[in-house]
Order: sequence, then C-alpha cells, then structure tokens
Amino acid sequence: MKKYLSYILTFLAGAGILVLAFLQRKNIEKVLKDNDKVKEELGKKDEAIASNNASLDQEEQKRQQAATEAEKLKNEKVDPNNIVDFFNQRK
Amino acid sequence: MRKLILTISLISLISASSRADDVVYLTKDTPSPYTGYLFPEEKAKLIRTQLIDLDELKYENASFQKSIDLYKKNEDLYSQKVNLLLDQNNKLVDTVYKEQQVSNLEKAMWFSIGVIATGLGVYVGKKVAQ
Repeated sequence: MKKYLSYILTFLAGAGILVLAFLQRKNIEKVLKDNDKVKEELGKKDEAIASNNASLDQEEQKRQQAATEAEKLKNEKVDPNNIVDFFNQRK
Repeated sequence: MRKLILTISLISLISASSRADDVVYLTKDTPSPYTGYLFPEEKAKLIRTQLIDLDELKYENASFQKSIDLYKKNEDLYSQKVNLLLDQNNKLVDTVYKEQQVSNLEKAMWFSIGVIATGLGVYVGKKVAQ
C-alpha cells in the first residue's frame, strides 16, 4: 500500500509541476498581451505629445509673425489718415 | 504754427458730422465736433507706437500662456508614460522571476524523469540478461 502511495504522490507532484508550468505559460501570455496594450498606450501618448509639440511650434511661428507685423506697422510711414484709421479700428 | 492736431475722443458729448466715439483729424482753428482730448501729432504717433507694442505684448502673453498649457499637458503625458513603464517593468520583472522558479522546478522534474527512466532501463536490462 505504502509503495502505491509513494507512486501516487510522485505522480501528483509531477502533474502539479506540469500544471504550474502551464499556468505560468498562460500568465506569460497575459503579460505579453498587457505589454502590447502598454505599447499601444505609449504610442497614443507619443502621438498626443507630437501633436502638442506641433502646436507649440505653430504658436512660436505665430508669435514671430506677430512681432514682424508689429515691427512693420511701427515702421510704416504714418500720415494723419492712417493714424485716424488706426485709432478707429481699435474699437 | 504748422502743427497738426489730432483729437482722440474718450468722452462723447456732442456729435456734429462725426460720431462722438470716432477719432477725427483736425487742423488748427477747426471747431471740434465734440468734447474730447486733443493730442499733438507727435504725441499721437507715440501713442500709436506704444499701442502697437501693447497689442503685441498682449498677443505674446496669450500665446505664451497657450504654450505653457501645452508644456503642462506634455509634462502630464510624460509622467503618465513614466508611470506606465515603471508599472509594466515591475510586472515583467515579476513574471521573469516566477518563470525562473517554475523553470527550475520543471528542470528538476525532467531530471527526475531521466533518473527514473535510466533506473528502469538498467532494471529491464538486468531482467532481460537473466
């Protein structure tokens, strides 16, 4: 009887290890799937960052353009008419 | 005196030909269409230049505010990325550690199966030889 018991226990231990290995494989698959999701999320965030950076560049360009236009406006030859226009357009 | 005079109205009371909130150009001795402030031409030019600068600074201020908001958004996104990566890194480290443990057990099991198979082979060999 004892002999059979030891066989059964050995068999159960072996089966347990195989089940553990199987579960671990499943766990690895799940982690890899999660990893793909994380990559996807990182990609989305990179896209958002790139979009924000493009907006930042655009804003910088607008500032430069506005500065150039202001400088041009300041340096343009003024006569009474365009001074009057300037003030009236500010309303 | 050749000085030209410019009126900038800030207070409107009387309106003749022009509206009381219009800026009008007046030559000397011309009657004013409404009560207001009178600036010499040079002063008007100076005010114009200063207003252009002011407008430009206002625009820049608003634009920089937008840029600051965008930088803050980027900062948030980078923080989220760092958190995601740290979290995922922990998960991966944990998985690798577990996999290593199971792998050792598996190796031990296969080693035991090898020992048993060899023993069985020797036993069967002996029996056949007898």
